[in-house]
Amino acid sequence: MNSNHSLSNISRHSGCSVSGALSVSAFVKDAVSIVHGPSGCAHQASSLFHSTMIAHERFEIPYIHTSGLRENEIIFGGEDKLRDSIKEALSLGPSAVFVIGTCISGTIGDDIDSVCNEDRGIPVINLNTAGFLGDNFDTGFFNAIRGVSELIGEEETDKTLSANIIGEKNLEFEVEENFEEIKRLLNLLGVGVNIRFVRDIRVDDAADFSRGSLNIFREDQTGDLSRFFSEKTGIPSIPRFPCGTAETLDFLVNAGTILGIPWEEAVRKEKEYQQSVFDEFSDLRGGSIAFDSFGFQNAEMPFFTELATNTGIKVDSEGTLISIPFGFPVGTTGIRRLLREWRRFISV
Amino acid sequence: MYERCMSPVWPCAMVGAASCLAGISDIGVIIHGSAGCYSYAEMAIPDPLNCTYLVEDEIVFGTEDRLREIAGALSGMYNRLAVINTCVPSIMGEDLERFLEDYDPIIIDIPGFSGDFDDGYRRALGVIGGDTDSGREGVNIHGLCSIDPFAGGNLQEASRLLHLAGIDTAAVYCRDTLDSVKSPSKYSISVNPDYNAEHTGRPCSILGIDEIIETFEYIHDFFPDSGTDKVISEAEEADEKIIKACDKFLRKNDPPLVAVFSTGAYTEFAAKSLKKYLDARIVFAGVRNSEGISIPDIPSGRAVDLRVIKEIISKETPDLILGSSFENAISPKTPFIGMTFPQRSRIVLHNKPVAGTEGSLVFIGDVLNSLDQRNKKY
Repeated sequence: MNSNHSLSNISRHSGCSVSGALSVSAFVKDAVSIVHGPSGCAHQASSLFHSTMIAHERFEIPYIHTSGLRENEIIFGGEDKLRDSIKEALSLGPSAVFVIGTCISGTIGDDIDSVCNEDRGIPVINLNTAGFLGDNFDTGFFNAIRGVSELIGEEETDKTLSANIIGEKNLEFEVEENFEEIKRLLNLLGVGVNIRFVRDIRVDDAADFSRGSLNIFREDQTGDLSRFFSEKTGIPSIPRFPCGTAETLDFLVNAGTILGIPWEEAVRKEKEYQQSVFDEFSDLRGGSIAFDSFGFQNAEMPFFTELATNTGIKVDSEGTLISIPFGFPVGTTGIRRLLREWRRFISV
Repeated sequence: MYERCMSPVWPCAMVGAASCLAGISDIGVIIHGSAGCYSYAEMAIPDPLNCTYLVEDEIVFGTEDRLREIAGALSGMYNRLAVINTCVPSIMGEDLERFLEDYDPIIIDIPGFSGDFDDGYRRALGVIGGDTDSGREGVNIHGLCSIDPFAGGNLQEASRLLHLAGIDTAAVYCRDTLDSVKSPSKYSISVNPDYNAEHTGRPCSILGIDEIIETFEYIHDFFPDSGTDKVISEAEEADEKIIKACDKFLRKNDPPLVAVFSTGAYTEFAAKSLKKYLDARIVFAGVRNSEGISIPDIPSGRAVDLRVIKEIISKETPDLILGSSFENAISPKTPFIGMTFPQRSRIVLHNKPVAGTEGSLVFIGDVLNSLDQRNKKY
């Protein structure tokens, strides 16, 4: 029975799997995503993408199809409408089609799998979502990554000294900046980027996935993504982008160790960079801060203690109240940007 | 209601109903659905909304407990509750009225699959209902739809014009109390006829200079002691100003090619004004909430499919685009004026009108500045 009786219960606020899935599938440039539900659902997603893309100063909006379910399909079933939508999508010449189920298609019990499995000459992949029914934004995101991974080639390919970046949050405000930081760190080791899975790729790019020698996940809190890709590709992985100075150095050590290449010089250079960042913010030494957790964020993270120690800022309840960021800063450059933001609040 | 299409740019019926009811300050609006549906409505609508945030087990075992929990929490804060059903609970077919019978709620069962924004808005207006109060003084203001980027400015402008005429404002649809909108006066003006409440009779439009003059001449018959002549004279002066500015523009420039995308009344207003003052060629009038406009010789049609809109803009290459930030994003280098929801590509903090004399002045001013910007050599 329902155990979610509180408005503050976070499970009620964890979003819709349709948006989560689209935040992956819509970034396969030559594929079409179909939201199998009322057109309003596709509008909500289009609107979210539109506002996010504008915030990223990108004006192109990925097209999102809708099967446009109406009352008639609610009564008699929507599979034929989905077939029509797939047919329409195929007329645009995509290399793949992704189908995203909604709470409506889930409630009326449409068999999306059987419609997707009909032979059409290109992959038509059910991303296994059902709006909020058993799903949320994160499960939609995960299911979509899994669905798109069906495009990854199974054949043996020559490995290169490069990394696959997996599960970037395409709607994150700093998505490009975070990627650039990882690219910079990998560059210190002489390692390139093989594929951004899934960000602005084409269907054919997925075939090269296995050329990468290391998988780096944006954030894999549950370990599900790491397990899935480990089983699917056998490629070793690092579970998340680094946050904080120590984790950034560990990232270099781990990546170097996994790839069997020397990492000492990269770590030395990064330590120098970190020192230059703390020198830049030496004026903050002696300042006091407290963290505003918005009632649900964790202010007890080692990242904060580490940052306070390195900058000489005191953490006490009387200090300037600073909001805990929703997205934690990535790498040393992320810390630099965070400190710049904090400087505006801290009065020494 | 549009059906299968690509990246639809207009919201669903649930959002329309919520937009209408949330503007009534003493109604507590509950979206009966999931966080995903609510979060969009909450983002689009500036007024307060509440939600049951349904989860899967409530869909399996019933939503009564959850709905009563939220209604109980809100009942002390509002005079009346309104529940707007979303797709999945609507399919469940629960008797929401019985669940909340002790709260006497307004129930709007217009799930997203049943129509678009305008269907929802109209249904909610119809459910509110009401009868004209022959004893109530003043003039009602219609057409204030909260997702409309001009709603705030239009309200200020309509109130200002009535004040200038010495006439009180009566009911305001929909930014008022429930009692007020249920007992409107006999006379009405509208800032956006697409969103009129129909039970008060047909309001007269103040969208456009000619309409303002016609409306206030009409109102004068019922308010003979009022100062409607001041409004009419202000409108005539505004007309002169606009003609002078547009003539100056046309001495140096050819009439512009313009693509207009908005709701019906705004699209007609823009097309008519641009033709009248600038002899503009309207290459396409795309309407969100109907199949086209009634002005002859202007190609028009429903425009809610992003791919279709993109094809039109690419084919016609207009000098100026009026529309939402979706249209702006399709051709970001073309001069652009925001004319409908959403407006995400620019920051608009002030209350900008499109109705009334100020609305016409602002509109033509924006058009001329946008076109002029194109020609500037610094």
